Amino acid sequence: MAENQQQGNVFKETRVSMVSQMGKTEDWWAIWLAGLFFIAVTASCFIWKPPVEELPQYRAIMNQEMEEAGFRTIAYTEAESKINSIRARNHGFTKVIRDITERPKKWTTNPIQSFYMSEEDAAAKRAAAAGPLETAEQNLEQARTRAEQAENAARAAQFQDQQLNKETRAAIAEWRSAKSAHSKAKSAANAKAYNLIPSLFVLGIVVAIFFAIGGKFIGFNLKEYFIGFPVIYILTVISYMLGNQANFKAIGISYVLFAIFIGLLIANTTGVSKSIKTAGQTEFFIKTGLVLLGARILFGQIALIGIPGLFVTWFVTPVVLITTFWFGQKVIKMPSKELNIVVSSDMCVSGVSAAIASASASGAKKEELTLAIGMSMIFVAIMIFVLPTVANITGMHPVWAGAWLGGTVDNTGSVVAAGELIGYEAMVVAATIKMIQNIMIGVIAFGVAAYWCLKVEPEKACKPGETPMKLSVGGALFEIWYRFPKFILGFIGASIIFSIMQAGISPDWGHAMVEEGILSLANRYRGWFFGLAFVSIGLSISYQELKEPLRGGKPLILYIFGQSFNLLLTLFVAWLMFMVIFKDITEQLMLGA
Amino acid sequence: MSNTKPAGDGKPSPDSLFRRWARLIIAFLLIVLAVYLAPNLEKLPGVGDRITTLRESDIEVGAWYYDDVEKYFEAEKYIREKRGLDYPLN
Repeated sequence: MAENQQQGNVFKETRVSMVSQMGKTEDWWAIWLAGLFFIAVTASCFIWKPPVEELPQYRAIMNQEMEEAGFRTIAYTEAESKINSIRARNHGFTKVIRDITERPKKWTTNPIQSFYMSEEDAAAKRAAAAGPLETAEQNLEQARTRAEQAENAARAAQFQDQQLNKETRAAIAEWRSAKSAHSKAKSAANAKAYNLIPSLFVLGIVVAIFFAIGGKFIGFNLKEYFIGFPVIYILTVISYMLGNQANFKAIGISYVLFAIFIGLLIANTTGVSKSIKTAGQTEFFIKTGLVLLGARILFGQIALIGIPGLFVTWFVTPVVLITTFWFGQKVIKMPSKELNIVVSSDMCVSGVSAAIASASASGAKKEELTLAIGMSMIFVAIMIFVLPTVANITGMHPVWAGAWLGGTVDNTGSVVAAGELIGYEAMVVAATIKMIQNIMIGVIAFGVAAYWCLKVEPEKACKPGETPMKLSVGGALFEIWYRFPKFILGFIGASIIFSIMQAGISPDWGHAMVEEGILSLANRYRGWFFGLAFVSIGLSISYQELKEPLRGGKPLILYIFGQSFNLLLTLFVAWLMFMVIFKDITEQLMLGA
Repeated sequence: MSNTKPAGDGKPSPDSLFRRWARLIIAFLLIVLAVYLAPNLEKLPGVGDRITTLRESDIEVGAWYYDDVEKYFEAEKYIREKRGLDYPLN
């Protein structure tokens, strides 16, 4: 943005015009590229549109059934399944551009299965799954017959007989459960041979060209970039493959750790060539990924568990964040404010996603982000097992336990896993609380960026230079605007646009076209962009740089203090909200459990 | 994020080429060994059975954003259903 020069003791800052920034900086090009992506994907979803015109008729059946029976009947469930099957991502060219983003698959002992499965192996899998499928089919048929009989009896009584209604609901619930089991068995019995190598090859080319478009304007050496990119991409693919080993996956050791670790190994042993350095555009990959991530911050979802859910997330989280940051600055005197905010956000907001957002917003160093992510992943692997054990031993109510896990365990996948170890209701509450917390990332990123502009780095503008800050409201606003990391505008803009789009025409349309279309593709590409970024981070750090912020163990003390405070405050607030003040919501969530 | 050093510490290790490559190969062999030993995690006392549960549940435990976790969508549906928040009538 600004070109800074140190001449003697005088700090000189030559400002770059906004128009020039818009054409030449990573922040703006992250927005342009993400915008280009969204325009292309939206166009594809509209050109190869799924049969969305059928949605109202299915919804009408559901409404009619609900009005007549007051509960989910067989016809209701079938219409609902039809609605759920209408997805833009499964049609035409949209399907093609989604299919090429397929990641290496889960494997147990043979890593080749991550990329390739022969017809013989697929046939063996199908044969092994044939028996369970047959059983599932029989169960489904029997459950369907029972559900039909019960529903016919209840319908004959015009749904006025409460006992018959109760029996029907139970029979339909059993049929729905059998339907779900059948679907899983059918999926296993339909195992198909695959070879991901061609699609991975095409994806590599597409992503390389995608970033080269921005790179040309930012000023990459494109020749070096195209030579180095395949190395970074192949390391990303390997990281995904390692992270999908079944047991690593089960304890949450994901591609993120492998990507950073492999990069670190190479950078600190053989070293990296100039072309790899040129291709390892960490910030560009992350910022573009974050703008795509912004589209998934859908504000319509924050009220899912009502006031108690909001309180456990939007009250506790900022309190813990501010307290932990204060503790880091005032009590243990962290050597870097950026490291402090990255560890604090990672620990109390939502793990890796919050760490990336706050690191980008505050301009933290790569090794600071790496350290925060590494610590978080180690603690998560412990918390997944310890917290459910505590909840089970003490006999915590599942909703209370779920809210506690959702508010404290970093990363959504780990939250769901920990909840699953308690029970289904705990899992759903934990997952939903975490999602509401995930939505906070936009606010946190905005807040951190604004705080850094106003409080942490304003002195840059006040030093003797060419454009000192004007001492007026306008001058201050201009200063914030000038220094604000612009990609966050894209991040927030994407969130607003897609929140409106999702709810705008109709919720069913939003689900079919936005969630299961545009956003589904954004998710896939975003995952690859972040994978490239993590490899690039590893490739750009030396062991020495990583050891530096660890000196004195302060980040560890910060994490442990913050997480302990988070665990206690969330435990109390979740109890107060779900077990004392809003017991009705807890009862609703447990109804029929 | 910022980092003035574009990659590594900006210069190769002072060790010989052979030693640097040997270190890299040893490190990769250690990764291979970890991968080979990974299935034994399920035999660990205390947590082994839980790891088996999580492996069989196929949850994306390492996923760090909600839309990467298939079970989240199931959870959302459950919450909407229980709280009567199903999508409004069209």
